[in-house]
Amino acid sequence: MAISSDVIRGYNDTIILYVLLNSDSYGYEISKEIRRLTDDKYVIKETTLYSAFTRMERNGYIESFEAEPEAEGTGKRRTYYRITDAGRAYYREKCEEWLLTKDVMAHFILDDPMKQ
Amino acid sequence: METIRDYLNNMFSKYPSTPEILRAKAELGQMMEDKFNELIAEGKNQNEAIGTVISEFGDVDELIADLGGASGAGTADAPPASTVEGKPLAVTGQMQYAQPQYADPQQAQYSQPQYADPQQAQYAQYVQPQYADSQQAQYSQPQYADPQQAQYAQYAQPQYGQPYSQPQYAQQQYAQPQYQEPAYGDDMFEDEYSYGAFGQYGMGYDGGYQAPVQYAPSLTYEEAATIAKLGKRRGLLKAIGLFLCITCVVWPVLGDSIPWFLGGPLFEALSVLGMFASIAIGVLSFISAGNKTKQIEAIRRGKHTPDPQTQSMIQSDWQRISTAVSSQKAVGILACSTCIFPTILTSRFSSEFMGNLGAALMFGMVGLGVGLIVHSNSQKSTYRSLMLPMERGAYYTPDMKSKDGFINSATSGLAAGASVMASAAGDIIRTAKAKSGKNTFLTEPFSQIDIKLSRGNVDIKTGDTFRLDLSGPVDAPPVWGIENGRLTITNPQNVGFIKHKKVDVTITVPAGVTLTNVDTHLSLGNIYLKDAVIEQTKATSDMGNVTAEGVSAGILRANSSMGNVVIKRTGATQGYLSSSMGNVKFDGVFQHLEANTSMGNIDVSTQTELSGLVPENEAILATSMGVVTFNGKKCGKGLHLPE
Repeated sequence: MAISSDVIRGYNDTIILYVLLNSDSYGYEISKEIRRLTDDKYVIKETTLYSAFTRMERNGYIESFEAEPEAEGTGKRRTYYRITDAGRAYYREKCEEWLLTKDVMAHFILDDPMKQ
Repeated sequence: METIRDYLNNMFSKYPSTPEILRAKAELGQMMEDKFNELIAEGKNQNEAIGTVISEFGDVDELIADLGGASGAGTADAPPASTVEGKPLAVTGQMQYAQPQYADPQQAQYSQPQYADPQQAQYAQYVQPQYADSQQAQYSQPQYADPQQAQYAQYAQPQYGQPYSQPQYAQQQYAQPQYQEPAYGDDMFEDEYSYGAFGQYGMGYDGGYQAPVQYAPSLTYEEAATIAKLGKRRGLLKAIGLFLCITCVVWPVLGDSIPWFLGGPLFEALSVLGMFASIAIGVLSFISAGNKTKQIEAIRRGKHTPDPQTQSMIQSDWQRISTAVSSQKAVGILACSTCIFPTILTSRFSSEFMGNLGAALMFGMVGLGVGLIVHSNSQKSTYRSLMLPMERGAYYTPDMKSKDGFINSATSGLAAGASVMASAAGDIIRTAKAKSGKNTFLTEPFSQIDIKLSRGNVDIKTGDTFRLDLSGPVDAPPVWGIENGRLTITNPQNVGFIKHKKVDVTITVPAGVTLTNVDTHLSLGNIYLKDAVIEQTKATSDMGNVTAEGVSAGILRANSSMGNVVIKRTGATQGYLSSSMGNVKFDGVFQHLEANTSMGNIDVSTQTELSGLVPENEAILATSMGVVTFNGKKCGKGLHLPE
């Protein structure tokens, strides 16, 4: 059972912002990190990721800059993203929203659906 | 990685090359490349890695909609959102055409009708195994809105179910369409629209929708194989022709030396006849070789070089025969370089007959040698012409070069003299058929142009669509390609510059498209820019004129060593114009203009009737030996504005 991307759609921004809370990062590294953090349960698609980047950059939640990944040393630059203060505020907001959502949904979710 | 790049290019092919979209494409490409490299590093094989990358890629149409929705990025050229009802019709329309594409049985399994677009079908092989029990299986129960669509259910792989069910998600569940992300690309279906006019596959399709970008058809494998066969025959005919023409002298040489008691005079008379017959047959061979060239051109006319998949088949055909072909050349060179030995040997005998025999053998060996070399070269150039002028030059594999290079270097030292002869012969042949071919390509969008050519004219203008007209020699056509929105045109790299033929290039971009960077360099020829909107351009012709008319440019650089630089009705924020021996003329609006000449005149007039641009003149005009004229007033050797 894997996560439906329809359900998680509204939280892609939150997920990406969480990854950026720790350190600045670039496209593939972020997607890899999401995959790792979710034990391969959620694989974000490249187009989704890029769409989220542009949207959040427009909204001022993240900023982009060019840099070369430290580990590589190939001279190939990536577009890095950095979370802004507005981004942090938005992230906290989304966390609260999720806690509320979870609370609400908990009333309608069976512990063991098989019992039904 | 090439497959992934092709895939990405295809996904973006129907969108205009706005900076925003190009940036998205570049970023996505980088992410895919990173993922691909990591998968390979983890030990996945090429196909698995490609499959994973493509299947996890997502949906470009959705992304473009997201980009366009908020910022008004140009999606106007994109196809209209097609209705679900329209799709199955198109699928049936193309089904019958998709079938013959798969020449070999290994590919036949991918010819299931859902891959209406042959271009897409090739990716299916990578994606398919991925889905056997993938997490996306939840989409495998499409809700067919219309029973007519149900017939396609059997073809619906899990990932293809999505297009049918998507409208329901869209209308019922999601209030915010910009956050929508369908799990699986309905691009499988969307894309057949942009490829609707794709060559012969699209001809029978009349969905009433005109794709914004039409592609010229590519050569099929069968056509390429026919060309290869014709090329081989052409080589043989040329070789025979050359052999007969070179050895025609053998007749009189030998006939002359037969003693009278063996019927010498008779042979002498016959030998003249033999010589003319030999020449006549040789010439006939050349003519029919020329006919083969015509047949090849007839097949090639107006067609793209084969797609990458077909090219790899041709490539392997070539690899099968390349050793034999190169050996022919080596033997030919050897024969030419050792042709003197029979004469040396026979000169030991003092008989006239032996002397003449030696000479005859020498001509025979040269004839044979030249024939072999030409036969080999001709085959090679046929294959090269099928692979070299690719959309991306990368397909010309170094294998062909190195193998040949090895043979060449192994023998060339030995045969320097002979190969001069041989290449001279080759040149005669080439001149004899130096007809040029003309090709028109309707290309994918591009926003940058990079042209470097030895000889030829370049014409960049506006029109209805992205289009490239190329005319140049058939045997060594210019190489062009589009990558990341950049159109590149050069002379073929493996042909010495002396053999670069004249190439005429006409590039048309749709009116309203902004070219970000145009860099054109010609050694000999004229550059003409008309009505284009260009952020940065550098047009250089060493010997020729540079002309711009009706152009709007951010930075306009135009240089000529021996020609005139003429800029008419043009607005340039910054202009840098120079000519050593010609004149510089500027007529338009500018903010900052620098012009230099050594021997020519500078004539600048500012026009205020060009709307939309306010001239704030800042000009530095200087000439060594000419005259500077500004708005009709002579200013001597220089002018500096503001004074």
